[in-house]
Amino acid sequence: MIEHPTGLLQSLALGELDRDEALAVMEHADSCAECAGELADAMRGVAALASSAVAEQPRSAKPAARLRDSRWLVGGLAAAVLALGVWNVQLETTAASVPVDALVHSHFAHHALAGIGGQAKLIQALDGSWVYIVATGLRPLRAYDVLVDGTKIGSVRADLRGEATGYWRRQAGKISSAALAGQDSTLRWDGR
Amino acid sequence: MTASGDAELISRLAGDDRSAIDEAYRAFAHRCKAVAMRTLSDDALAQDAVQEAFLSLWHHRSGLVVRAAGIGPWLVVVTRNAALNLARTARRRSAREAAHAPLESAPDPIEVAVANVEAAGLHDAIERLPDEQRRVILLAYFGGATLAEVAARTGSPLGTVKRRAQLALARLARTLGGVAR
Repeated sequence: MIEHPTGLLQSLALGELDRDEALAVMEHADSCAECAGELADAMRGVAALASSAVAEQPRSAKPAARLRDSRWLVGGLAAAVLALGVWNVQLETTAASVPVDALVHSHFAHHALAGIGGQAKLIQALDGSWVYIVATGLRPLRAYDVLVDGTKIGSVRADLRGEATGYWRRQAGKISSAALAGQDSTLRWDGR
Repeated sequence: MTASGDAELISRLAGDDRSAIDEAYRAFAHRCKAVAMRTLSDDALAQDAVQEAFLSLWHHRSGLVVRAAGIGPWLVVVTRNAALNLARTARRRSAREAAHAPLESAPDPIEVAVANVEAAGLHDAIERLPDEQRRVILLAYFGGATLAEVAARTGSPLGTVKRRAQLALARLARTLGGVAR
């Protein structure tokens, strides 16, 4: 238990803290009316910003994927109820399943995409079964199509810093070219 | 969800009613997913962030913060935080594994933020903030800087920056609050 983490309440609401720090602050605030009130004020502000941005975001041409069935909650909650400490372990398991883990444990190759209007790299499994794009220097908030061998496999949207990442699984096969195509710029790798 | 519906749901959660979390999921998961997607641009990772938030809601169901903030704002913030943590992890791993040649550093976040806060309602709300509060929000929320980094960049004491963040967020909550419920 920590004593009135006043300076950390805004940091928690803004997303600066890692999981353990955030958990410690939240645990305190959950039983301290003074800190709960201040944290709630900050949370409402951040939620208003986040929700406004989402509400005013232009509709994507491609409908968002449907949410998975909420029945996963039954299993997750049962475990959480049985042992309060377990849920963190479960979350770590969930986080450990993120696609980028494949970058660490698989054989992969990567290629620079050249052009004007940013920098990007395509990282791929050697068998072509997945690709990962990391880009910077893009036009902030702009959408870019990701093409592999001339076929669009998905799209990314640059954040406010002009950075974007994306990961896709695909049928295994040799990759001969790739491009990150925006409205007024294209970055390419042509297999050489 | 109405304020009374929110209060009832909070009460059921505090009473360990598991159907309440399912109801909360149906009411708020879509918005949480949208918030996560803005940070992650990856469907599977965004879903992980949403699941983490709802498990966390169950863990904190009896705490004061959920009651004080309301379920919607609480979930949005926790989802966004989970998404930011996943993004940091992914960025560290991809940078470590993939960067033979380092990518160029990002542009100055405040310049980008000022130039690109395009949503009209959001822009107006931010414009109406006092200058020093606006700068904190642009750097910390849109620019991704920590409050300590904001203090260093602006030359203001950290405590002052935190106070400005608190005042700005409270003001934004009042101005934009209808969207956040």
